[in-house]
Amino acid sequence: MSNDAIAKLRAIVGEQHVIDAAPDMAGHLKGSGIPLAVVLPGQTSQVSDIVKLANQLNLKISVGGAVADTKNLDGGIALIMSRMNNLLEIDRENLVAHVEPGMSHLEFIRQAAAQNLNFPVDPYRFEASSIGGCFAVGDTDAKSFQYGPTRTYLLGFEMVLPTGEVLDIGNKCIKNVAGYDFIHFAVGSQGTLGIFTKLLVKLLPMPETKASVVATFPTIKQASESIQTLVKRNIHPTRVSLFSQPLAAGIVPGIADQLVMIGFEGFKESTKALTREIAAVFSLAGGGGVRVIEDRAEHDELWQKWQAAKGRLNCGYSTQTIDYSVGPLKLAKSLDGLAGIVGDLASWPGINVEALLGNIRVVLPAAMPEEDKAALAVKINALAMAHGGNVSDCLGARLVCESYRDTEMWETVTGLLETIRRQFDPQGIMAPGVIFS
Amino acid sequence: MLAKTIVNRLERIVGDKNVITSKVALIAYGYDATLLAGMPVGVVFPANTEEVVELVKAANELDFTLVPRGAGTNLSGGALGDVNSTSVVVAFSRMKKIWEIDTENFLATIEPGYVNFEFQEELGKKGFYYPPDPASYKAATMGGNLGECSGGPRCFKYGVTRDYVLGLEVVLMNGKVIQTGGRNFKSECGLDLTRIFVGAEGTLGFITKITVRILPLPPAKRTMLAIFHKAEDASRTVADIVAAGIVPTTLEMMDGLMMIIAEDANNIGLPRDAGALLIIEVDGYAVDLDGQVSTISEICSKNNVREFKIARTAQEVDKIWLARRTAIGACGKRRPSYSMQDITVPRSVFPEAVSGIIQCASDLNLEIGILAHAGDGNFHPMVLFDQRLEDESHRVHAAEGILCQMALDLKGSITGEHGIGLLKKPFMDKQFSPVGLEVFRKIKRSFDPANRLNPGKIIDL
Amino acid sequence: MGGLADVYEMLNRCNKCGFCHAACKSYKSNLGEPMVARGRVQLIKAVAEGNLEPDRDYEDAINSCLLCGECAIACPSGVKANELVMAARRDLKKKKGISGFAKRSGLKTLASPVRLGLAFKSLKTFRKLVLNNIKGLDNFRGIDIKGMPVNEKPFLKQIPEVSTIANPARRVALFTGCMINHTLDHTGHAIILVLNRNGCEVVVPKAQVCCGMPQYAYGDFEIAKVLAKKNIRLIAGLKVDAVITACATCGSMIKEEYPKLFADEPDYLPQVQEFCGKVSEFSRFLLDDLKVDVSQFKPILPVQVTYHDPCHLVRPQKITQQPRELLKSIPRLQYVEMKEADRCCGAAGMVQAFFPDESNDITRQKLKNIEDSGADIVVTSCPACLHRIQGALNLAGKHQKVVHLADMLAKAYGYPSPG
Repeated sequence: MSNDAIAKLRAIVGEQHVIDAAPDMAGHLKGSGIPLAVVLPGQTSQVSDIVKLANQLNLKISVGGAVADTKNLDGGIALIMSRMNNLLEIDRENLVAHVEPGMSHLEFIRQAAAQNLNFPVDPYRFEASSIGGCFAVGDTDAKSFQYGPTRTYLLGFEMVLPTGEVLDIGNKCIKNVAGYDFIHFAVGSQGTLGIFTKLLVKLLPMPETKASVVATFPTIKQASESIQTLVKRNIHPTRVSLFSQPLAAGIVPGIADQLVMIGFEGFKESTKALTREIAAVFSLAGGGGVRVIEDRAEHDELWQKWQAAKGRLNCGYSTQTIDYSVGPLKLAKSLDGLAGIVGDLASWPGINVEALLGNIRVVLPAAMPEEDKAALAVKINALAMAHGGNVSDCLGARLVCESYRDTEMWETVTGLLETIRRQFDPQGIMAPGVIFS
Repeated sequence: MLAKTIVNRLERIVGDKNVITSKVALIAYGYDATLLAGMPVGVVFPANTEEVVELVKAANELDFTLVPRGAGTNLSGGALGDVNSTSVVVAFSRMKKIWEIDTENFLATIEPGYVNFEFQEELGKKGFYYPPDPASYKAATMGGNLGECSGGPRCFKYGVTRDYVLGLEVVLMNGKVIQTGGRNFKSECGLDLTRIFVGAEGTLGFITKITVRILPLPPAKRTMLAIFHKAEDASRTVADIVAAGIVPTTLEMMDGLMMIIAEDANNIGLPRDAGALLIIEVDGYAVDLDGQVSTISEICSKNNVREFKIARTAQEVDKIWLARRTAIGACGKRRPSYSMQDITVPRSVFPEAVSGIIQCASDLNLEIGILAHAGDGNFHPMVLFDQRLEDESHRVHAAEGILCQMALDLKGSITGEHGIGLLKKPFMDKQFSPVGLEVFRKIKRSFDPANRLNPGKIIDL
Repeated sequence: MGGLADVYEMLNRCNKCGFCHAACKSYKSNLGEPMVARGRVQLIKAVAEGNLEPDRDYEDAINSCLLCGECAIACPSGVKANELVMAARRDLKKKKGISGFAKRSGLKTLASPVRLGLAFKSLKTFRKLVLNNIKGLDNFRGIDIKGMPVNEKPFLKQIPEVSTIANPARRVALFTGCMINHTLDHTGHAIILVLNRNGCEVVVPKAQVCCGMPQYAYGDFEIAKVLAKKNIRLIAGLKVDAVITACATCGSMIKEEYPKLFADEPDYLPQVQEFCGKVSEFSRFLLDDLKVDVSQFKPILPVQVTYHDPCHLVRPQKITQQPRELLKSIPRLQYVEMKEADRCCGAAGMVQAFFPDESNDITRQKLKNIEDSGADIVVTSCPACLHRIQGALNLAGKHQKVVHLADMLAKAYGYPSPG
């Protein structure tokens, strides 16, 4: 049976683009599952044929830009989009780009920048992220307060649906309310509703200037209080990040304290005034090594290191971290509360705070047993809820329902998600590793 | 006629006073701001989520349909009773509470019946605002805004309703209540359920609470008026402003005919021989605005602007906006009826769209004044006529079709803000392939397989 | 289509945009589409087109309109829903007569000076004998029937026909209106004092009758015309330079509406217009015509004062500045502007009696605005507004006093204030 399947796949994409030898597959996979084959399509019609075949033969499909997740994929197809990596068009007049999903996210940013255009979304996994993955994952990155979250930047797409049809939806207009908003609904759907084969991406003009302020603080408490001061003073930089020492060392080697990084993307005059104001605030608050960085090359290098650090954090997301959000002005208090739960924050593998989003990520010790992680998540969710927030995403939604003993709502939500998924994917072949609960 | 059993059940749910079936009420709740009509068989006014749940259960058990309604300023027929006259309109005018306004955390939670303008006023007291403010915001409700994914003049810079909704409480058609999203950006569970409800025109579930992002009022704003000899010059100015990397808060256009209509009605001092005018606003930190204003001024000069004004006082700002604010009224004074169309095209083909509208007007012998949110290519052609004249009404209907087709030919959309409702249903298969339409049906089936919630709007199952 | 044919043009111009939702005060309190300007217009249109037989719900919809006129200003298409409501009431009256025994009686009483006098006498007696002896019976549907003042004797019986002065520069007639006549005699005296003080001989024709607004408002043009003709004939015979009104409602009726009332009598119209041309609202007359010397105002004890714009003064007559200018000229008077000073007080004639929930909700909003302004005295130019607001303040146990502009000015001239 599997030989038959492989033969049919080869007939669709060509011999060399179906890899079924384990050592050759490994570079395209993550996780411990063993798929039938790694398939690299070159155009939409091939993707469509592959999906139709998968439905016929009841094979599961997991999609990746360069690397696919193999959870629950034993005997299925790992579909790698890396060959479909062209930038089809940059339309400067309409501030949009047509791009294939397999293009590297960072490369896309670079190509846009070369045309003096800004794609503000940060890559989820630094150099390993594809632009297709960017929208499939739909992360809320650190710049969302200023720029809006990832979904803001998708105006349309071509997608192969889980039943094989090709859907073309959206256009270059900023405003479009024809029909249901499937365009934005699909962002973050992680492959469950279909496979992106072309993306129509919204771009912005390049900001007039970029600048940063960095500072170190002896304690996380001091660091978080000083960045909270900024929000209190109505200062809204583009990125306001705090890394505890273990994580900070990945950005500034040898650093002994907590690192605060403020990034600005905006106008020259106001940025100049604000960076200086922030530097003054930090100095007064006991910050060390307070610096305003206006040299563009230095600024870019710093934030690249930041992106790499975030990429590492995202790699371990959901298995090695607990992520929660509270209101921006509740940050410091909630960190005090967090210390009450987990003990001295400095002794933990890492804390990352995105202040404008009120978002805090706690890196857990690698050896922490699953039950302990689960128990900690419950405590952290209770803490977050006490500060008007919650643990993020599905885990958070479940914990919130559980905290209200509202099994009915949780069942309704998961039931609804399942219903939607079944409508699109009756045989349940897409993204087997993605479970909404 | 609504069966007695149903009326009794409804009265038990919301109270006698809040169920009306009189002829007067059915007429009053059978229209919206379009020329369409669809009389319901009853109107109910729930006070809270629980009552909405009971209404859904009643509809399922006794087999009637439900149509949510805000203020009824809908421009696509979305709040009308269904064609089979089995609908009970669920009017949300009693559910207009503010649950919280939390300026520290940039959010507010309100009920769907709350009027957008009143929300803005309340936020204004605290130095905040809610950017999506469609022209109808003095009457339209937040729930209605959510159903249509309303825009407003600020969209180019600030986005639309979908960009500001953090979470919802929804009563599903199986009678269950869910919370989608939450109080921050990272609370969606798996699929972005919040997003699928925004713009769903009240066909997927009853929204009973909305949590939105709110922003502090921008510290400064500058308002400019530019009048051009030729419409093409105005279009090029828009393109050049965008190319210069400026993202104005407002970029409103009125064409020459619209200016004549406005001037005839109100004598505000607009020239009657100009091609178009632009109202341009930039906002942000005061120190950043001078540069943008002078760039805009240079661009206007480069494009043969005939008159360029920068407002220096609040009165001057009002004076500049007077033309735009009185535009719709001016149409109403010239001819008794107007049809406010809604199409969008990519910014790059803005001039072609302008020509296309003018051509359509000429071909059909109709007066069509052009209003546009130029920054996002969203046009509101104002077609003037008298609804009592059958022939003229037919031509207006034809204009709708031509303009939608033109928008699609220019690779745009048949609706930018007003929604599909009933009005644009005939054009859905022109904008979407059969695959696309089936995707929409899949969505509808997921939420309302029995098709009891606002059936016949957007798409038929 | 019958009588509504005349206004069909305007009915047709409503594009149902719904912008009137923001302006319509009855909608704000009721939130039902039949109670908003747009709803009323569409219902009237349905009747005009024969798609709706006027029934009780229809009558409630059009009778609950305050006629405050805010919709007419807000409508982008220039549809005056208040005028359409009037036309609809006229149409109803012609088709079905005036419905409701209470309303018919009320209108009849207002139209007859004798019956009106008797009614007020009865109220005084009823109060003395019954109301004042029963605790808790303060109000009838939100109307302060215990507290509303009633003159010992009608004002018209208290004063001579002519209040003259030495070397008058002008001769004016005073049209008092029913409310000043029966409930605010001190205001009547104040008006005469102020006019005398400023060189006017004041004729107060005793045979004047109700201006006709209540009947007109409910579509009874026939009775309204009878009353109007009486007043016009009476005053025409007086040879005066101006006809002064100090009641916004009467003023709007005799100045703005009389010509509309007689639109179908082109031969009589010139006499009407001559009459209307002479009608002048009290504060406007003082400031614009007499150009009173405000330096003559004496200081009063410091007090915070605000002004309530009666619907009939601000919207049809557009008089808003003059009362304020006069008040601000009184030394030691601290003028504070209240929010929504021109928002209806909620009286709207008989609406307060027949739609108490709506009226009370609207009056509550006015009280809130008064409270927020910090004013201790609310000045206004309409006796109906005055009684409505004062009554509501009394019932709410609030301390603020509502005073007619004339009384305020009399005080500024040094005359003792009434008890």
